[in-house]
Amino acid sequence: MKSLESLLPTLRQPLGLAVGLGLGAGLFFPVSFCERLLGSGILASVLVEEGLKLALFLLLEAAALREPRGRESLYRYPLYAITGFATVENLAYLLRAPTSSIYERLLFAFPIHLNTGLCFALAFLPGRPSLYPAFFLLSLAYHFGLNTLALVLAGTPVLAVGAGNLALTFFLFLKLRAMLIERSLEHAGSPNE
Amino acid sequence: MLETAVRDYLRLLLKRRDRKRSLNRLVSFGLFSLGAYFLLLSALLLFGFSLVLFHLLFFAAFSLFPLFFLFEAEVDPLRESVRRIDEDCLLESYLAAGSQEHRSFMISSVRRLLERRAARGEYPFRFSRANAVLAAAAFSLLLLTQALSLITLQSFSPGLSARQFKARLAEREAAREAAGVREGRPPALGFPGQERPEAAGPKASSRSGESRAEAEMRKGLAEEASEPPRIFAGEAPQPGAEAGREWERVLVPLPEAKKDLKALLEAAVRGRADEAGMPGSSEAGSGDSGLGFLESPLKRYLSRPEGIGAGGGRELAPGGEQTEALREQVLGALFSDFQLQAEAPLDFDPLIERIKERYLELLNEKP
Repeated sequence: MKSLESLLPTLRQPLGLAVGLGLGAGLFFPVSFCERLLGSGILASVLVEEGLKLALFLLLEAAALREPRGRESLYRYPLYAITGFATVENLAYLLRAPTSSIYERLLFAFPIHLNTGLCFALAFLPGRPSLYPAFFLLSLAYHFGLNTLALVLAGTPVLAVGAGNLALTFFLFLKLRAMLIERSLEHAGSPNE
Repeated sequence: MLETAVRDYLRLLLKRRDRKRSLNRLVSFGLFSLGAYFLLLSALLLFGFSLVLFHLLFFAAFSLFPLFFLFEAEVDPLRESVRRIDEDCLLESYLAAGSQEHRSFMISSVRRLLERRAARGEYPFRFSRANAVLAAAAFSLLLLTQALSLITLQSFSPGLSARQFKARLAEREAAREAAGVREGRPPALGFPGQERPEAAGPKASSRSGESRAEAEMRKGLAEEASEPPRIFAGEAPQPGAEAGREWERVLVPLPEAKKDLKALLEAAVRGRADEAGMPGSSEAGSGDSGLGFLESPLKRYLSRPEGIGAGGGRELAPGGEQTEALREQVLGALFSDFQLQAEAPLDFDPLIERIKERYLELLNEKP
């Protein structure tokens, strides 16, 4: 029992990764069911998917209340789940329409999910839940706008917008890392560290 | 509160660490994707599974890229960085000090340490050990793919995509089936050291109409592997055209991974045998160890004069080619099923229809 407790810090991240990915992959099915119930329009699917992300981060807020300094590791779990969800969604598309154009989704749909998740993480990390409504609306507009644009655009413009989308992912990721560094320095400067 | 100089140096240190880590993760992702691609290509060559499954697995592997940046062991980056540059636990003691008063005792020593470290430069970019392992694994998988390519396709193919590999596999399978069917014995192709029909030169392929058809089919499939799929709709071969061009014109490229080429070829060859009305022929594998699949050519040669008589001497007409009818039969039999896959040509033109109608009306008006 003692050895298990000593192993727990080492296993926490791999276990979190497995659970997060599995949860996200599993959530794809109820989410697509809800989308179908709501009519399968773009707005309906965007509402359900962004609502799910918001719910994941709100659940995490509850967990962070018990462990205020655990935000630096907790923020990853919803992002693991979002990765699992986006992967299964893309695989479902590939099974439905097996063409090589599915790789465009790696530039389009995948970064959209990741970017909105990173936005929520940017609100979660400093512990500012008041930012969630604003980020939720922003995510809705961004997700809906790009999905609609993908229907209008075809060929090279899709790839160009996709490259910009991916660049935004890296920008948000670097922003998150910079925030983590600042938080780390804040902890170092505070007493009893 | 940390002194500004200490804070700035620690920030710089953490940013360098982070940049190095992110770059290494990016390289890891690239190497992982390459390794996954070569592994799947090897599996494709070994098991010949469908392209959909190949892309499904590769897509799933490729979709894991956020994890390369997000996943991190439970390590405090600041503590790790501080311990990397610290001497006699000076910096760590400074950071752990409970009050400014305690810190002020240590600040001069801490400054000297940081100046020394700043001059040296920490966290220079270097590939991580994990990347070295991943690079070795990716390279080994590339070698494995090429070895398997040499065994199964009898050539190295470093630049081929999964689709092209699949086409080559189908081509080899078709050639093997055709060879087995023609010779009535287990296929000779696919085993190293044995002569390939295309390697035997033009003599081998011009021995008969069948071997020529096979060579052309192989050529067509190889072209198909390097080009986007095309549909040749309803274009009939020209009677006086060059033989090679005729074959190309009727070749309908196969949408790969959807055809059971073996079954199609078997059906086609069976159809040819039936059309030819050859007595004594049987389906592949159903006769005595496959030897009774085709009758003796001598028998057919002896019955040739009767056949010419029955045909009214048509095949001996001036300008006619004796093998033409046979070649058309082979061609029709081989590709009769495939032509069903081709798109039906647009054969309805309202203008033409109107002209036809008007023409018939004018004919009727004639006394």
